[in-house]
Amino acid sequence: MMEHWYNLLPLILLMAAGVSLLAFDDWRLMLAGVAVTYFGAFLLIVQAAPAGIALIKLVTGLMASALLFVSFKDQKSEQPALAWSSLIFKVTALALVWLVMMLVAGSFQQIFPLNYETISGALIALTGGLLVLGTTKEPAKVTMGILVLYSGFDILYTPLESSILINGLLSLITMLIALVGMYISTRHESEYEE
Amino acid sequence: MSAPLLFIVLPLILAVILFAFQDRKIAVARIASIISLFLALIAFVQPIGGVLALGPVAIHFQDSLSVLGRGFFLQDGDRFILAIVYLTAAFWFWGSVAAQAPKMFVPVGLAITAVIVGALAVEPFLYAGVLVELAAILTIPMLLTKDHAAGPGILRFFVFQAIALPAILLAGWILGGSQASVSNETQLLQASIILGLGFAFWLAVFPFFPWVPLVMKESHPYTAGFILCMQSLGIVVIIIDYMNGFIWLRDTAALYPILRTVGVVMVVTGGVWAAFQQDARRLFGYVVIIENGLALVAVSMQNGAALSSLYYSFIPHLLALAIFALSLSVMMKDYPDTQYKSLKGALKSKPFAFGAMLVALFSLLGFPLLASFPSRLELFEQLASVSLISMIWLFIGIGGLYLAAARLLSAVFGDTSAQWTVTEKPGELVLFTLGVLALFVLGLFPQIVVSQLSNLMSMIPFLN
Repeated sequence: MMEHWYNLLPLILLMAAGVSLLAFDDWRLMLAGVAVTYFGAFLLIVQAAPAGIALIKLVTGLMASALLFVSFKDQKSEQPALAWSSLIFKVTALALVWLVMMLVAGSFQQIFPLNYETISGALIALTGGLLVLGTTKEPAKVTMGILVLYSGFDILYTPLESSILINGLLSLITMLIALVGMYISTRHESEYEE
Repeated sequence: MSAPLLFIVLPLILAVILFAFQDRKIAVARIASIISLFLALIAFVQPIGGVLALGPVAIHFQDSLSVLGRGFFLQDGDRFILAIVYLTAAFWFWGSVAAQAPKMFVPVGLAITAVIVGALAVEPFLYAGVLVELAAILTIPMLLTKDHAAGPGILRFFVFQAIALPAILLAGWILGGSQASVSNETQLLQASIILGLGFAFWLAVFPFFPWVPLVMKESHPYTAGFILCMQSLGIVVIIIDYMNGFIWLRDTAALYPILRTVGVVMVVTGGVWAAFQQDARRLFGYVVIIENGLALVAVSMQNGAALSSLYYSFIPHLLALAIFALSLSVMMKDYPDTQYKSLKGALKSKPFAFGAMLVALFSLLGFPLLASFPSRLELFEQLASVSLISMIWLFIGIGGLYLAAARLLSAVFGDTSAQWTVTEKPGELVLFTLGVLALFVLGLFPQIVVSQLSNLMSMIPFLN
C-alpha cells in the first residue's frame, strides 16, 4: 500500500484533473485539468527518475497545454447548462474505475519495480485519458484525452527508461500531439489544390 | 558517411527544405522522387559496410549512427527493404502531381518515409514504436481535406495510433527484462497480450479496423493510400523484428496459430465487408486490411519460403495499391462522389484510370498472370499444408473481395449508351500504362525480379 502519505497530493491532483476533463465541457477547465495532470505526474516522476528528466516532462506538458490555450483563447467558451445527471454518472464511473485501479495497482508491482503511489497515479491518468477518449468526438477533447493518457504512461515509463533519446522523443511526441490537436481543432481550410 | 545518415538523416533534411518550397508542387515532387529513386538504387547496388566509390573518391559506407546514446543500424540485410521503401516512395511522389495530392504531401511523405526507415534501424529495436508513432502524428495534418473538420475516421486513427505506443513500449520493456529469465510464464503471457494489443491497434486488426475505410473516405485517397501502405510495410517488418529479437517469443508454439487466426480473421472480415461495400474509396481501405491479414498469415507460416514470398509480395502489393490510389484520385476529378451508383458508365469516360484500377484490384486478388499471383500461390500452398480450415476461411475472405471487384466492374460499365472517350491527361496515361505493364511483367516473369532480388533477399537474417 501507500509508502508515503504525501503522495496523496499528486493522486488527488490527477483525480481532480480527470474529473475536470471528463465531466465538464468548458475548455478552460479542461485545459487546467491537463496542466494539473502534468504537475501531478511531475510530483510522482521526480521521486523515481532524475529530476532533470522529470522537469523536462513537466515543461513539455505545460508547453503543450499553453499551445492548446493559445489556439482556443479566441474561441468563445461554450457554457452548456450543467446536466447534473450526466455529471453524477461520469464522476461515479471515474470513481469506480479508479477504485478498481487502486485495488489492482499492488499487483502491478510484481511487474514494474515502482512504488504503489506511482503505479496508482499512472493508472489513474491512463484510465482517465481512456475514458475521455471513449466518450468524446470533439477533436480538442480527444487531444486532451491523449495528452492525459500519455502523461499516465510517462509516470509509469520514465522511471523505467533512462534513455535520453527515448525520453526526448516522447517529449517531442507530446508537443506534436498538442500541435496536431491545435491544427485539427481550429483548421477549416485545407492545403488541397484545386 | 554512414548508411543511416544517407537513408534517414538526408531525406529528413531534404523534407524540411522541400516543405519550405511546397508551393512549387511539380518541382518538389520531381526532386523528392528522383532522390528517392537514387536512394533505392544505392540500396540495390551498394553493399553497406563496403566502400562507396564516387569517381576518385572512396568513402567507407558505415552501417551505424549513434544518437544520444542509442544507435541506428542499417546492415546489408536491410538493403532489400530500403530499396522497396524508397522505390515505392519514388513512385508515389512522382504520381502526386497527377493525383493532385495536397501540397504538403511530398515533403511530409518523405519525412514519414525517413522516420519509418529510422524505426526499422533503431537499436534496441524496442524503440521502433516511438518512431512509428512520430510518423503517425506527422500524417494527421496531411489527412485533413478541404472545408472539412477532422472526421471520426481521422480522430480514431489519431487515438488508436496513440494508444498503441504505450502498449508496445511497456510490453517491450517487460519482455526485454524477461529475456534473461523466462521462468515467469504468466508475466510473459501478459506482456505478449499487451504487445499483441498494441500491434492490433496499429495494423487495424478486427475489431479495431473501422478507421481504415473511414480515413480513406474522409481524406484524399492518394495521401491516405500512401500512409496506409508505408505504415503497413513498416509495421509488418517491425513485427518480424520483434519475433526475431525475442528468442522465446519466436520459439513459442502457440504464437503461430494465433497469428494465423488473426490474419485469417482480418482477411475474412475485410473480404465480407468489402463485398457489401458501396464506395470505391472505402473498398481501398478493406483491401489494405486484407493485405495486412495476408501478411500476418505469411509470418505465421514460420518458414523461410513463406517469409521470402512475403518480402517478394511487398513489390507487387505496393505497386498495385499505388496504382489503385492514383486511379481513385484521377477519377475523383470528374467523379467526386465515389459511391458505385455515381460511377455508372465511368469506365467509358476514364478508361485508363478505371482500367488501371481494375487491373490493380485483380492483381491484389492474386489473379493469374498478374503481379501478386506467384506470391499468393506460394502462400496458399504453404497454408494448405498447415491448416485446411484456415485456407477455406481465407478463400471466403478473398471471395468477398472478388465479389466486391465484380460489383465495382458492373458499376463502372453501367451506362451502355455512353460513348468511349479518353479524358485522362498524357502524364496520367503514361503512369497508368507503365504501372499496368509492370503488374503484368511481374506476374508473367516473376523469376526475372526474383533472380535480381535474390541476392538482397539472401541477406535478410530472418529468412535464413
